[in-house]
Amino acid sequence: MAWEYSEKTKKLFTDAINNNKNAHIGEIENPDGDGFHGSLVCGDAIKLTFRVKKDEKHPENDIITQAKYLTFGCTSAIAASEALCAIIEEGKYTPIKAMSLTKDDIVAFLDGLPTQKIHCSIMGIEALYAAVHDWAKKRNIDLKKFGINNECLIKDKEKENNEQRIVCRCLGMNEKYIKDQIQDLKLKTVDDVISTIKAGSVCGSCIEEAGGIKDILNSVWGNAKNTTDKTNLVETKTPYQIAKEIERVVENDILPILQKDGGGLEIIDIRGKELYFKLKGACRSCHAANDTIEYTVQKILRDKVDKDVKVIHVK
Amino acid sequence: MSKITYLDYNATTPIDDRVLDVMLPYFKEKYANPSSKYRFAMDIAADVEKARTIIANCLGASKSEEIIFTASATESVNHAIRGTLKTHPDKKHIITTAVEHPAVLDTCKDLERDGYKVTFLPVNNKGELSIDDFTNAITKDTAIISIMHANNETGVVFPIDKLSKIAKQENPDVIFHTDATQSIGKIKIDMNKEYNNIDLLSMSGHKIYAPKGVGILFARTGSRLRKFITGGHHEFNKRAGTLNVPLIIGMAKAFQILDEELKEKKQEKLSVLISRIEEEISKKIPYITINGKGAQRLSNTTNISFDCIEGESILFQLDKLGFCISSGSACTSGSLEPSHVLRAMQVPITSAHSSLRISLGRFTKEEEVAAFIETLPTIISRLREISPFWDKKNNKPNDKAIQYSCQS
Repeated sequence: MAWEYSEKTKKLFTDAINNNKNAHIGEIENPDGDGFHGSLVCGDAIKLTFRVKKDEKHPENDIITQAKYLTFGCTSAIAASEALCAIIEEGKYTPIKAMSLTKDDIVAFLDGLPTQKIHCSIMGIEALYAAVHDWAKKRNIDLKKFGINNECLIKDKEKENNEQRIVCRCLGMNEKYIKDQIQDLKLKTVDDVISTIKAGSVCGSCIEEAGGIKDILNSVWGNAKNTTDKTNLVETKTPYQIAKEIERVVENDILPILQKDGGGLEIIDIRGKELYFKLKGACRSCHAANDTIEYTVQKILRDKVDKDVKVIHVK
Repeated sequence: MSKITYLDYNATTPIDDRVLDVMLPYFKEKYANPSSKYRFAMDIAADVEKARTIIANCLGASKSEEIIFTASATESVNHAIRGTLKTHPDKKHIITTAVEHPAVLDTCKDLERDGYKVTFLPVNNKGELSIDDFTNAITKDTAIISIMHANNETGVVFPIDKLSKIAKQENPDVIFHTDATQSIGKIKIDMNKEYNNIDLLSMSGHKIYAPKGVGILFARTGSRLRKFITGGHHEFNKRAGTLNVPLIIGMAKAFQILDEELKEKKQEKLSVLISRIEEEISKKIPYITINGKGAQRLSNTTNISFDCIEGESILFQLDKLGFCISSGSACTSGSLEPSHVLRAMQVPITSAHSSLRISLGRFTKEEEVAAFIETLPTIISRLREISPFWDKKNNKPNDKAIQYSCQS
């Protein structure tokens, strides 16, 4: 699969590589905000630092005057980092206002990104959020007061990250993060998740496992899958439930068929998924039909109760 | 188009002028369908048979009928594997390796879904197979073993002559197939000598300076193989479809040229250039890994990883300067996953993201290699300066890189 970058993306990347005057490469010493997102394993990572013009009376009015980054990643990851720094510097953003930036702002600044590369822009935003939190901490600002709680993905990170269950171990992504991204970006399939946020893309073991990506997708997008996938529900039945159900199906579905011909069936025992029974009445003497009846009873039980039900005719 | 420096011969090769020349009449004047029964067509059919004989001789086949023309190596592979399984319905086991080309890997995975058991043999960090693992994997239920001759990404060569011999000793009924797409023309293969235990061999024209869209399946006489493409009695009733005459004629010429080259040992020129790349890059750039170093490798291929940077951004810059090279980086693949070959070799995932494959060929010039060696270090060091995992002062990975690679 090939993709083309926009001219803007190519230019920003080239500026960065050649360290042109307008490029934002590097690391600010003793920065006012410092954020990091990504990892070597993931194939992308960014370290974002910024400097503010301080407003001593009202620290919330600090204005970002300089932003720099170091990025490990592909062409678009580097261009997206460059775009992010340009946006916040040129827009004279306060850190709090910068929290309203989203990946879409970066994508727009780059004149679009190939869909496979959207995650590069998300990464920059995550690093920005982290840097703003760092700034808030240093300046003793409670971000909650500015309504950041609800919109910002990172808000829970510091508090809950440690408690959160890690789903994608390779990339260190927890359940909360993956769930939020699935909702926000409307990721519907495992492929969507892998191509957009990369969760599950390294070893793949978290895709199928319990509480893994498939389960999270199901929990977000409702029961559409669960209702069609009955086998899952059936398999979790306890032996008691199975016995009860076998009884019920025998009574409601099987006996009426046999009784039509003057026959009957008596349950001797139910052990796990095995039904021990005796044929009664006309069925009993009809040796030729025995096998057929056994097969029919088993088929009905397998369809209605469990695919592994076995019937044993006690003669 | 600006100047191109093509260093990606394992992806495809340009058509040799000598090949093109012999093909041209078959596009225009000699257009008849070789299956037709008039002199005009029968002469062309005779030319096709001549081509078949040339190729059979180059491969050491005992009969020219053992050469079946296909449309690609991928088709040949599908024909070999699926065709064999259909004639051995009682056997449900396949052996292959974890580092095969997708033509084999995806086919085997697809068959897995149909209920076949597939053993994907692992490789060590040099990319080599364990003979013991291989021997132990063979069972009575094994229908086919499919092992590539040379790896397309790393150039590591598997000893298929030895492996096929062991296979036949362990289970005389087993069918041995090899994907020789990358090795034809680089390693002399004689199906009647040391390779005489191999039943089936796949390869394609476009890796040997013939056009794309033509391949070969060598099927040893007596190997039972169900037809894969049905629809006519072409190719001794083994593969249906009107023969692609010009491409077949071209491929025979390509084989002839290869044979001469092998006799003149022209490959040695390439191995000198590859050694130069590896030595100079090792000298000029710290923290690199040559993947497959120490294993037996093709003389034209090298695969190098660079710590702490990402491959796609290297390629982007090389591309701007006209260099054509491949990468195992996740960001260059449609799947966003790093190369399965490097992962199977347990290359640390931190450097799997930045591998470059350089593959040379017939028309590679010394100056091109020199230009590449000249260009690369600046690109790498610039990207490392931008990387948050690089310690600029000491020119080595920083603590964060070490910490992050440990976390994984």
